[in-house]
Amino acid sequence: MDFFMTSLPTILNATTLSAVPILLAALGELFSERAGLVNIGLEGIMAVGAFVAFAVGKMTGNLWLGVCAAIVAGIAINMIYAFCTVTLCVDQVVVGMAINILAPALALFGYNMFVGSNSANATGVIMERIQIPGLSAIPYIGGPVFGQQLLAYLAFILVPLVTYFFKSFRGGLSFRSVGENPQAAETLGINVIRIKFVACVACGALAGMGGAFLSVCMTPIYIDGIVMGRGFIALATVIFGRWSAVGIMAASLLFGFFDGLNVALQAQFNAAPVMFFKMIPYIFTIIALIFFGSRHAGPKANGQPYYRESR
Amino acid sequence: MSESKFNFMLNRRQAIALGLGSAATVALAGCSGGSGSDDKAAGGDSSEGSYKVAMIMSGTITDGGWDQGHYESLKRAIESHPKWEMLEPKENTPDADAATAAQSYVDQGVDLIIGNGNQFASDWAEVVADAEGNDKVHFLITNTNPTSEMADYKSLAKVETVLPNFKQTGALAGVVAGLMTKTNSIGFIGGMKLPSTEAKYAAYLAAAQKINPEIKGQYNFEAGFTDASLGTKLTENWISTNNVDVMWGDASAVDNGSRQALESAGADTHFDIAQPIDIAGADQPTVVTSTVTDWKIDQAMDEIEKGEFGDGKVITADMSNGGISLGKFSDKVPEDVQAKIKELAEQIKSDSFVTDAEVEAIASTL
Repeated sequence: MDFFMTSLPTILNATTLSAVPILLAALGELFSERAGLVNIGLEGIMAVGAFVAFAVGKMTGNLWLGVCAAIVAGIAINMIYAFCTVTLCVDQVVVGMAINILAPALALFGYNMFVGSNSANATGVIMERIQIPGLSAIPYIGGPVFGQQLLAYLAFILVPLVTYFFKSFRGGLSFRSVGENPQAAETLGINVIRIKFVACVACGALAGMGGAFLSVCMTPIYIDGIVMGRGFIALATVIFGRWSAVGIMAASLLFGFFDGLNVALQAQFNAAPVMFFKMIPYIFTIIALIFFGSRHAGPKANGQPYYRESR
Repeated sequence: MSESKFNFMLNRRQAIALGLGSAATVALAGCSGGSGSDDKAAGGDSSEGSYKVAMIMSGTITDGGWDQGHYESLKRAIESHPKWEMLEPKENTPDADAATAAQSYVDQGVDLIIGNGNQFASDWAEVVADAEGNDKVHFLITNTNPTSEMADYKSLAKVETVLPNFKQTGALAGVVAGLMTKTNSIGFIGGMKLPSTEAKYAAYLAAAQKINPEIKGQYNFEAGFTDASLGTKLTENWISTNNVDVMWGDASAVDNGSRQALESAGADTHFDIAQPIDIAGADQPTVVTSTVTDWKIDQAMDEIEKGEFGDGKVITADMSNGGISLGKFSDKVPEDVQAKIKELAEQIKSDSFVTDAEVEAIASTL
């Protein structure tokens, strides 16, 4: 108990820090899957987002320009996925894997071009934390929860907006129709192809933003492998969150909590087997998928190519 | 349009799309190995050099840690050896490609091929065996004990390794930490639980406790080398729960994250000792000094020129030959503390500051 109370601020801080990039990428995946596109290329898109945000932020000295550039880069990479899966109807898993191989290689190539042998370019800066007056003074939880960067707050503000969009907007209902039964949606006058492309734009933008969080909010550097499986965790989070924005947020925070717990245990029990602690977030992910991984819960046409002419 | 004909057309498109994607990926992966820098110029015009040296690494020359330290050692060696020409380092080399990369340099007639780290000892056994009849090529592998890590080699005639004096490195950092800590709580992050990592930490804590026996150490030996955010989170935890105010890192990018946590906690009260390159400066507000390792590539070059290289000899990088040293101090280290550190560094150099038994006593608890 003593360990838990003394480590609570660190765990909470790590929870928020770890949850945000996963939340952003998972919200992007939600748009994609709601339109029937399973995009396993999140990992690659996040890598490109992380590099572009780092490089543009470093070059311009404006981290928000870096975030915007990461969004554009994420969309651009995801247009490859959109073209292959929506226009060419290539298997979505195959294209996603190709993105996961291509995009980090692109980012690494760009990094080598940007930094070269000039080590001064290898380190940037990170966004300032914003303490919310009053709330950040709450004992234990105030600082970690209400002392985050603006991008983290934006990620959490997106959750009710996305929920509202899917529940109350005509566009959101169109997404859901396309994900459930694109042929029926087409007969109702919904442009299925356009919806799928818009979903890919949203997915690329949010995954790129998630990648940007890694290099402009978490650490001031870009390194090959910086995403470290968070794209795949985001995929699991969508399933665990039952394809709802609130569920995804809860799942992201839970993953973040276990990640924070892992760090706190590592920090306090030096002589214990660290690798066991490192497994905790991933064990949680597997358990969550076992209990919540039923594919029947997701959009019915998820992962299936859409042939406009077929009935 | 029938579905079968439709599918046939799409399959052809799929093949083109996937083919183009694969080609682009392979091309980019190939391109990304190089730094695009003007490294070749470091050795002057290729026609002037009569020896060639090439370096193979798993990271990049700007990683701020392990590989950058090796690259800077190589650059220093090239500057003092005008007959040598440096080929562009091969970066981001996975273990699976390490042997192929080395073989390509053998084929190019390179005189000295350097592998940055003991993983190359297991990767290169076959390449070294195949090159046995090649009088030109030589292999230098760093951080490797040939007795224990190259036991499966048929011959070590063309191989040497470099081992830094870990006790000296750790003790230098420990002296700085011991004199700079106000809370008597210091930390250490290592990338991988290797004997060298444990030896460094044991000497670090032993030296710090020699300054002040009340000092306590926190450590993590398995943080990896890439997850900077783990460095941030671990250090934040130690600061908030153990009052750690001085850190020493041995985990490349993870150390960046640790410095970030120290800066957030207050760069005037929380300090970092960097390694293995000298990075103290205005852009690193928490770094008070660095423990610098030079991988003695110059010595290997001298031996090759004299025809004395090989037979599995170990080059020891220590304070007597400039292999281990302290970098510049930041202005956060008071003059009297700097003088004390220099005085104690002389004792470390003469091996009279911490004993092997004191270091071993800590190592046995890890």
